[in-house]
Amino acid sequence: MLRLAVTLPADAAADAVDALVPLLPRGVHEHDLGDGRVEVSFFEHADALPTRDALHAAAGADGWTEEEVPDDPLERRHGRGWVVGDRLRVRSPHDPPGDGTVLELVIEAAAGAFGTGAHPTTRMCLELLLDLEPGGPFADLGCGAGVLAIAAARLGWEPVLAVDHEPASVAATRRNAERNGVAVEALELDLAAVAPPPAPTLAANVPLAVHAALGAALAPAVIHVIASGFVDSEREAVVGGYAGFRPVARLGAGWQAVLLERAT
Amino acid sequence: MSVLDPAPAGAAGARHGQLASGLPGGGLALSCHKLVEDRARVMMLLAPGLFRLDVRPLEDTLQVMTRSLSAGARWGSASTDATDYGHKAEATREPAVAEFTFVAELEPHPVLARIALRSTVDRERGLTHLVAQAIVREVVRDER
Repeated sequence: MLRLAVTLPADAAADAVDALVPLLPRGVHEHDLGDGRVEVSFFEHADALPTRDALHAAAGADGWTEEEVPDDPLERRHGRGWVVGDRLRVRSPHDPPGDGTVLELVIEAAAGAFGTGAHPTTRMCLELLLDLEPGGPFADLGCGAGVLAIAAARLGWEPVLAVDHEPASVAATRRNAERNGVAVEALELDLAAVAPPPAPTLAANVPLAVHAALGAALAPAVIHVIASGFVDSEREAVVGGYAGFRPVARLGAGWQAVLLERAT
Repeated sequence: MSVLDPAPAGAAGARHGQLASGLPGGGLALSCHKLVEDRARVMMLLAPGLFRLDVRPLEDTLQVMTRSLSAGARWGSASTDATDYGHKAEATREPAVAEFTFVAELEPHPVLARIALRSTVDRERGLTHLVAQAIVREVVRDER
């Protein structure tokens, strides 16, 4: 399998991807490099590649790089990771390491657990987390691959608890915590049925129905809730479900994330 | 070229495995299925002169991008050209379903497409199974 990639100005990438998609049955990947450029890439076998002329005509640019990659999507390098808030970088074990200037988390996507850093809700939760003063207990509710819990542990929260109702996510969180050398207690828990742990800082990147259950069951010790996993049209319902809390920060255009603070 | 002719639709989507066939009484049926890698934007349906439907699985959610290829056409159930749908784990024991309508004001009759997109996540392999179908027919106004 080959990976071909080209770097384009951000304002040209959307049209290029739109034109490339019909050429590439396996699809097109976009990776915002955060510096006004977007890396556009795709995977294909050598005998099924479009011609360079076709790629040039669609993307409006030359300079495609080409490299051999594993056939298994879970074993492939996809890009360069995601930098959040200029302070944190999340990458897969198959992406190259950074230059050491920012805190780096290595998160594997094995078993497809949510939250590898690829989804905008994960990155927005990390951005809101970076705005908080670290310290004290932290709980990641609906932890997926554990990225929020591991980030919290690296930033200075302690102890850190991560819960998810999916055993594969709990196992992935444990592996990722070990990989990153942090202490995270990961447990299987159904948040729709059991009250959330009483940590002062919670992160909940979960569906609307789970937010409704959480909002009705928070302990008095909870001060901040980073809430995400919903879209703009659902935001009012989510925020309204956390009675006694007020939104103090909000991120996102389609997908949303809010930081809720207990009203004094 | 009629937008309901299956031959150009079949040719346009052949590279993507899109099947096109005529319907009894007139109309066009399109279908396509793919196993898609996480974060890859793929074309699922292409009806020349009418519409294109792209989808991007992103962890356990879907981003759907609709495109009109006919002036004055309009989409239902997808008010923007990029719409996010959550299909969290609870919903993936059966395929998650998103449905759309598309209307093109063509002469002599408008054309209506009913589109269904179903998805199932294969977490072990990091793939999403997408199935898209469209039924496209003319809407004949009752002149009585």
